[in-house]
Amino acid sequence: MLVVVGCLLSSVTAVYAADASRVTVSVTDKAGIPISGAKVFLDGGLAGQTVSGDSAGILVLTGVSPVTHSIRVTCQNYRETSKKITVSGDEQNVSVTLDRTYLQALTPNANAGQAINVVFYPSSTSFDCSSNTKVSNSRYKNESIFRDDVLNVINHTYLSLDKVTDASNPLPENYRSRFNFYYYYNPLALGDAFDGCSGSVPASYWNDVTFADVTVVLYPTYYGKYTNAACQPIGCFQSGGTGRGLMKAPADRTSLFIHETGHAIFGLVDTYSGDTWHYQNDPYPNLWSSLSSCQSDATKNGRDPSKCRQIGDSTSASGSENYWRWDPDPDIMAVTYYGEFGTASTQRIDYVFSESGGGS
Amino acid sequence: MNGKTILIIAIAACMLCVSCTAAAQSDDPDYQKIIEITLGYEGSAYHVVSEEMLYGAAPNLYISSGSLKGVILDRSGGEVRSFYLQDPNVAFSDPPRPAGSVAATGTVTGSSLTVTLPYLEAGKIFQLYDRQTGALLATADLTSPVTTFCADYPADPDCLLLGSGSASGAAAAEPAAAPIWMYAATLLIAAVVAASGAATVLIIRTKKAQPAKPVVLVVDDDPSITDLLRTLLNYKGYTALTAGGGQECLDSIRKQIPDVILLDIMMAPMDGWTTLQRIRADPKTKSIPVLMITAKPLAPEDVLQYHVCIDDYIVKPFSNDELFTAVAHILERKKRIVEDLARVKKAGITQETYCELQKLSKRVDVDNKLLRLLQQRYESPVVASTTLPEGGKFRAAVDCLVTSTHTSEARLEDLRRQINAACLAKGCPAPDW
Repeated sequence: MLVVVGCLLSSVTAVYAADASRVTVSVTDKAGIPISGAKVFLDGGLAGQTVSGDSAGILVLTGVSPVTHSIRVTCQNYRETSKKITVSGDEQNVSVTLDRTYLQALTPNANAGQAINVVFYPSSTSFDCSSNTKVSNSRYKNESIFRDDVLNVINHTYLSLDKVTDASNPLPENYRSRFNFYYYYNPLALGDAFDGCSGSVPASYWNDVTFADVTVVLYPTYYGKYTNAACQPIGCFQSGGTGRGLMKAPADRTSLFIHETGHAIFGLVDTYSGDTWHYQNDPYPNLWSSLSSCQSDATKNGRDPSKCRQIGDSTSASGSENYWRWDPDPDIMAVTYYGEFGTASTQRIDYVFSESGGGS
Repeated sequence: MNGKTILIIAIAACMLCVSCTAAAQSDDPDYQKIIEITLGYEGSAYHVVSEEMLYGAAPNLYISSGSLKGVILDRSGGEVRSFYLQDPNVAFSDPPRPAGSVAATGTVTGSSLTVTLPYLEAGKIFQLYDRQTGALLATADLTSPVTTFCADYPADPDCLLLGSGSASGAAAAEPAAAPIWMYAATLLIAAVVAASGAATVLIIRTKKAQPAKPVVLVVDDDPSITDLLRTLLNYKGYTALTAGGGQECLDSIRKQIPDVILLDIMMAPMDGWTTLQRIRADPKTKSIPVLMITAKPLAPEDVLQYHVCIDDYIVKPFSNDELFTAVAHILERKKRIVEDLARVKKAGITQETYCELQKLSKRVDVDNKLLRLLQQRYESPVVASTTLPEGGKFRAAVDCLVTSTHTSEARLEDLRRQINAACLAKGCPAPDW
C-alpha cells in the first residue's frame, strides 16, 4: 500500500543525482500573497503543486541536479510564467510572481481545437459622423458595461443564427454549444477599432491568446446621426494568419455584426460588387467564379440552377464582375444592413459547424 | 506474500502508473503546445521570419477558410493535416464606402502572416500554397522549433516521447535527465522511510539507444539560404543548425561540434576562407568536415591556399540531390573510417597508418573535384581570351593539384597494398576501397 502511495508521489519528487539540491519554489501574486494550488513544472515535467496552510504558495523540490533548469508555473486565472534557474549549492529559493489573466471565459469551454473560439476585445475609440473623425470614448473603460455589451451581442448574433439562416437547412441543434466565448480586458491597454481596417490590439494580446478563431474589436455606437451611406458604422475582417483573425464591429448593429461573422467564422464572401475581394470559397461556396460552377453546384446541392446570377450590373459604378451568386435578396452578404443568409450561405455555415468538432 | 513478491508487484504497478501518467499528461491542457511560424511578405513572396514552439492552445484549423492552403507534412512527405487560411493582404471592409468618404481602408499590402499550428508529433514540415494556382509560397521546418523547445523542457511528456531535448542544461550535465528516456523501460525502486512514514521514490530510467541524427551546421549570411538548407536537411533527417556568419559559426562550434559544416565563401565581414582557417587552427574543431558552398567562381589562389583544408566543394545553384549526396558522402566516409579502423587494427595495422590512408584518400577525392572545376573554368573561352595573368594562376593551381594528386595516389596505392596484405595474412576481410 505504501509503495502505491510512493508511486503516486513519483511525479512530485524525482531524484536525479546523488549530489542534487533542494529547491524551494515560492509562488505569489503581484501583491505578494501566496498562491496555493499552482502547478510547478520542472524542465517541462509536472513537479507538484504549491501547498496551502502554513507553507502556502510553497513547493519544495528535492533531488534537483545542479545545472540550469526551466521552471514553469501555471494556475487558473493567472498568466503562466516560465523562468530559467541555475541550481548550485544544497539549497536554493526561487520566487515566481503570477499576474492575473486578462482573459475571462463567458461560457463553459470545450477544447479550443474543436470549438469555435470567439474573443471580444474592447475598443477605446469610436467614430464621429459629424466631424468625420475617430474619437476616443470612455464607455469601455468600465469592464461591466463592456461585458454587458458583449453578452448582448452574443445573444443577438451568434446564439440567434437560426433566425437568420435558411430554415430548410437547419443548423445543428446544439450549434450554440459549438462556441467558446471569452473577453479580454486589460484596462490599461484597450484596443483601437479605427486603427487600420479591422482595428488593432496590443501585440502582447497575441502572446496571451493563441487560440482565437476570431478576435472581435468591439466598439460602441457611432456618434452623430446615421444620415447617409458615408456615415454608416463600418465593420471589417482581416486575418494575419490562423489564430490571428481580427474583426471590427459596432455593438449596436446586429446585421453588420452578423455579416462580418459571415466572413470571419464561416468564410463567406461579399456578394456585392465593388471594393471588396472576391474568390470562389470552396467547399460550399456562396460565390462562384463561373456561371457553370454556380449552376452545377446548385444542382448538386438541391438548388435551382436558374437562380445563379452575375454580381453587379452594367449600371453600377463597378459594373458587372466575373462572379456569380445564388442566394436570394435580401442576402446579408450583399446588403450588410439587413437580410439573411440564403440557402447557399447556410449550407456553408452548416459545413463549418460540422467541421468544428474536428472534421467530418 | 513474501517481500520479493511485494517488490515485483510494486514495480509492475509503478511502471503502469508512470505510463498512465505520461499518457494523461499529454492530454492535459497544461501540456498543450503550439508552433508559431511568422512569414514575412516582400516582393510578392513569403519567407520564414521565425518559428517557435511554445505552450498554449491552438485555434481550430478545421474551420479556418481562405485563399491560401496550409499543409503539415510528415517525414516522408505524407499529409498530416491541411487547412485553409486567409491572405493577410486582403481585408473585407463593409459596407462599401461611397467615393470620397472616410473609409475604413481596404486592402493592405506587405502584411506578415503568423500561422499558429497545434503541435503534432508527426508534423515535420509546413508548406503554404496559393489555393487557386497551387503555387508553393513558403516552406517551414517544424523540427527545429521542437528541438529548441525540448532543450528547455526536456521532461515535457512530448519531449520525452520524442526522445529529444539533448541540448538542455540538465540533460547535458546529468545522465538521469538525458534525452532518450523511454517510459516503457522505466524501472522504479521504492524505499520506505519508516521513521517519517513517507515514501521516497527513486526513479532509475534506462537509456534506450537511438541513432543520433547527424548534426549539420549551415553557415551563410543570406537567411533565405540558411532557411532553405535547414528545411531541406531537417527533412532529410539531419539536425540542421544555422549560423549567419563566420563569427557566429565559430561561436556555434565552440558550443556544439557538428558532424559537417556547410560553409559559404562569400560572407562579410569574415569570409568563408578565413572562417575555415580559424576552424582548422583550433585543435578542438580542426577535424570537423567542411563542405564549401559558393556561387563564386573557384579562384586558383584559393585552391592553392585552402585545398588541403576542405572536405568538399559545391557550386550554387545546386540540386537537392547534389547537396544530399555531398553531405551523405562525408558522413559515410566518417562512418566507414570507424568501422574499417576496428577491422584493420585486428590485422595489426596501426591507427596512424590507416588515418594517413584516409586523409590521402579524401585529399585525392577533393583535389580531383577541384581540378575538374578549375579545368572547366580554365578551358572556358572567356577566361582564356580575356584574363591571361589569371590564366597563368589557373595553370599554376592545376599543376599543383595534378602533382599533389599523383603523389598522393602513389602513396595511397602503397598503403592499400600494405593493409590488404596484413588483412590477408590474418584472414580478415580487407576494407572495401
